[in-house]
Amino acid sequence: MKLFKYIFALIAFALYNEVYSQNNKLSESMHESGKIYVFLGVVLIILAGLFVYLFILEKKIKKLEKNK
Amino acid sequence: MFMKTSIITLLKKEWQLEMKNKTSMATVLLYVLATVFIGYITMKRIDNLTVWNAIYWIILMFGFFNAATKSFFYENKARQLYLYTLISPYALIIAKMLYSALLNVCVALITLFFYIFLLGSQPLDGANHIVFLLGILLGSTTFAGVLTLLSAISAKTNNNFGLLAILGLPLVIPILLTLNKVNNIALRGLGFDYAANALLILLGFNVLVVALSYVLFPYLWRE
Amino acid sequence: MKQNWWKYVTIILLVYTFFFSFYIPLKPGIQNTSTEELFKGPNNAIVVYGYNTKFIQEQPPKVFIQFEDDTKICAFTTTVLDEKKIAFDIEIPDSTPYKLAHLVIQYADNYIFSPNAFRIKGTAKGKITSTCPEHNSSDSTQVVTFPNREILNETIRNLMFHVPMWFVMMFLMAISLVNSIRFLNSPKPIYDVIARNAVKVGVVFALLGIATGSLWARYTWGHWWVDDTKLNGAAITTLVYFAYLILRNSIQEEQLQQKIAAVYNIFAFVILIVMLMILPRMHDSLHPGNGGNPAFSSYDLDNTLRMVFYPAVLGWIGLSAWILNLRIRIDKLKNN
Repeated sequence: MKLFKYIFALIAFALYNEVYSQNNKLSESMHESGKIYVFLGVVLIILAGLFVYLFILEKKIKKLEKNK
Repeated sequence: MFMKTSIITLLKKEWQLEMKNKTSMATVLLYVLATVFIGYITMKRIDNLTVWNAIYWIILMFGFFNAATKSFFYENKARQLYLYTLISPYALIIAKMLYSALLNVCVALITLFFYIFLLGSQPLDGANHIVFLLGILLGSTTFAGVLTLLSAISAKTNNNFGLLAILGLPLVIPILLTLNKVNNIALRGLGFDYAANALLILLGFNVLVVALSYVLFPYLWRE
Repeated sequence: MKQNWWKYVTIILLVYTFFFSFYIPLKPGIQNTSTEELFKGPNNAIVVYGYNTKFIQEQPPKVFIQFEDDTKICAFTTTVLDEKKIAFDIEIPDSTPYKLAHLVIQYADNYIFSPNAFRIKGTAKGKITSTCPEHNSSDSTQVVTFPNREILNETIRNLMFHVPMWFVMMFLMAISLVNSIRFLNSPKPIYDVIARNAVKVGVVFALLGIATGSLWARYTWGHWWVDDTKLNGAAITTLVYFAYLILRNSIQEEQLQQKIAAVYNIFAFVILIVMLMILPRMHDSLHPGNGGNPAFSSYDLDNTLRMVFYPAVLGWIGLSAWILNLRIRIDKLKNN
């Protein structure tokens, strides 16, 4: 549960940055150095997405095992 | 030969059913007219070509969906069994598609009449009428083709209209995009040459959809 | 072990992809210039910021601007400020008839180019001649690099991550289609299990493709979503497969569910393929890889990119097949 809290805080921070300032740090770092951080973001999204998917799969298997 | 006669018989049957309870055509027309009237109340007259065209097709699209819901609605279990023993599924799907194409064209033209009556015909003044009508014709029939099979699918479930919308909406977006192109060309008064490409795509699409429905419908019907 | 060889190949391919798409540097390029306007006369002092460059004073770079018909004007002084910064002065003749100029810097073995870097103020109807000796314009960079392209810059590496998501999705949907056809021919439950699970995994990859694409769009085009044929096509496809899953859930009777889902799957896939092949050809697209965009159009893929891109596609497809394999096995267990 604690982990979820941290993740939510991180998402909230990113959203806050996104909404409240045009020339904020996050936005700047995304644009500078040839947008390497955009690429990093893309890779992280894919990895995170796949891991979340695997976790969901894991849960399903656990349920199956319990029923047996 | 047998196919041809059974298609004609089926079309007659649909028409007689229609005349007998007058519900499906009447509901669709009432639905479409009410929407046109709402359009009139909220927007009065529309002079902008793009908006005029877009609203016309949005109204029509929901009208077509409404019409399609009815196309397999009246086939209850007993009648279905009866039809099943009598005719081939191929004849049935062709008849259904033909009937719903005719119905759609009628609905489109009647809607156009009331649409012009209430919201103004300003955009049609400089238009190329032949291309515009051709667009309506091809668009209505393509909608009929796509929605007939989907309606047969959704009739098998208990949530008829909602499911038809979910299944159909993503599939008709490409058609709407192509139609939009045709109509924008027509309303700007440009000739047939400009629209030929998009019209051909619609036609090809129509053929494809009919062929697909023809091949796939028997699998649904056998159930 | 013998049946699982492709899983090991997948691991190797993905490790290769991750390693090289991070490791290979971008070709040197021009990040920006202190001004975008040039004036007639000698008073043009400009600072250029290079990207991944290594300017050195001992071997000063040649800086010149080039017009649309290959007329060149050289800078008359060039100073290297540091590895990534050059200052130069340039004189534009009064009779210059051009509006736009490209900036070219040649140093060591590199040849870096920024198209339409400058606008030229004022109009004239005249002719000018090149003030530069002919330069050898071939690029003889020895190091393995990714091309540095306008707009894309470092995000050209997305080619190994975002693009394969769509390849994977098409691959899974094709598997699903084939199995739906097989199911209608001979209704064995296994075909339906494969078709259903392929769609479920494919939707996950489609969502990843949309999420990564929209992050990129936010920092390139300024919005999370823009009106573009490729993006709309992606959205429509995803919606269709969500509709497929909803359709499955709304029918209780199992045999009926399998048959109807197979029919819808074939119908939807064929329509989508046809439409998504035709529609993008009718409209222009902003998306890299389409005409009218400086990203891939005139260059296409270069060899270094190819060497990483093809293994990447195979690797991601392998991974998706692996996940699909697991899901199918789970489903089989569930039914037993």
